[in-house]
Amino acid sequence: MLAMVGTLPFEEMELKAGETTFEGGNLKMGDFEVMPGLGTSAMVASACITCKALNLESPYFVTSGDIGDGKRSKELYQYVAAKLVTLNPTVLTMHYIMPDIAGMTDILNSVRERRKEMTMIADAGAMYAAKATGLAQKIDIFTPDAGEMAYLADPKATHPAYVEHLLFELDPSEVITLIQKAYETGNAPKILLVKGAIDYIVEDGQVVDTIDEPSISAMEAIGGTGDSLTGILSALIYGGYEMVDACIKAARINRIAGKLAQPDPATSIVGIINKIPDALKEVKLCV
Amino acid sequence: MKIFERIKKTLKPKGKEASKKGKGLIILNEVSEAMQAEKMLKSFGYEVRGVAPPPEIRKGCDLAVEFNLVDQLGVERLLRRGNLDPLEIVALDDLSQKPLDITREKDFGRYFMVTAANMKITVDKEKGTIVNISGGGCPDVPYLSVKLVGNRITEVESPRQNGYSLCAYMLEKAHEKALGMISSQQPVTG
Repeated sequence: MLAMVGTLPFEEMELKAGETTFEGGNLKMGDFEVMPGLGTSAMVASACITCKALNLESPYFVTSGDIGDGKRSKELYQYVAAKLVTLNPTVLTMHYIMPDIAGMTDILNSVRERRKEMTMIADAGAMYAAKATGLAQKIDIFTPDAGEMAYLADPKATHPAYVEHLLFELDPSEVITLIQKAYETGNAPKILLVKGAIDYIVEDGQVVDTIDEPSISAMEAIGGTGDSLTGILSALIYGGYEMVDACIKAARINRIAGKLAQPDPATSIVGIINKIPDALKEVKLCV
Repeated sequence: MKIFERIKKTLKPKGKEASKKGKGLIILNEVSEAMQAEKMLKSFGYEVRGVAPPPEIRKGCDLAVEFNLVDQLGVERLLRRGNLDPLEIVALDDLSQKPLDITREKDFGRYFMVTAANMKITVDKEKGTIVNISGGGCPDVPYLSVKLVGNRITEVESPRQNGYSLCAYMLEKAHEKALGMISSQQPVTG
């Protein structure tokens, strides 16, 4: 099972869990439908469309409505910690959620002997929580951008807002310095997929590959392009690709989907998600 | 002292240090204000507690309110609503830490993007509309994106009005800068 966890921006929505598909431009779980936008919905939609193209089972999505007060995020942490062993996913991807040190610790403690058989990916709030908890090394893959990389590189910061000025002011081309600092201080997992003008694939502190083509500068401005990358990556690992290989392929597929959508900075993420199947064909992962 | 107790004492400080991680401190003018703030924030479900401020940042009141830093924006808004004006809000594990106050701008021709920490906002220079919001990780970011994208930056409520988290706090910084950039242009028409 590919399990995906994250909040959706609805104030009253209670916790929902189930198989999820992406049809007609909407994310669907039972009677519930939402058009993907920035955040968890874009990530899950991208995983759904990738799984479908690769003939894989649809993701199992665990979500709840949270507009920022963190109440339903807490429920989500508790639910996942309680159910993780029963759900028994081979890939667990955690995404937009209120960073909660206790909640993340509970989830990581709940895995125990199942940990070796499970690939754990954290992005967005879940990544912030894992780093703030000092448990980054318990996760397999983080997918930060340059700003988030500065956060991982700053051992004192418990949120990207509290990053040292010096690290934020580093030129994006100096991202390797940030990568080194993050590994030196134990605040990075085994694998990093650092997204940006150049995507860096890092294993145990070493840059093993970089992807910079096709180069679509507008993608940096489009909300959800990092989320689509995490969704594609999760699906590829669920499909059996080894972690580093999956990072390289996901970075390329996401860029190609962007190129095919011919975006400008005002483009919506749905336009790019819809191009993922064509991008998969272009890299010959499906016909 | 028994050996067991000495070992226990040696090991204990680690837990205390860990408990400061991700916590912030609200410094107010008077004890009564701190008590009022603690009561109000608790009533809205925030995990807070009254604590003695460290000597190096003691500025008057000898009671401060500890809270989860990630809740900073929501906490600040509630304090404002309650007419409570903190002297300072600091990160407890490093008292010199303050949220980033610098932004970075990128020109895309018809559009420009402003980055503040992990948050980005992109605005159409011609129409003055917010066309995309990107980055972040806290749950209010997708919510704020729905509320802001597609609307004129001069007409929307700022992220501070509806956000709760540090991500929203940084989006506010980016929004402020972008608003300033649009306002300094010729009036937007159409």
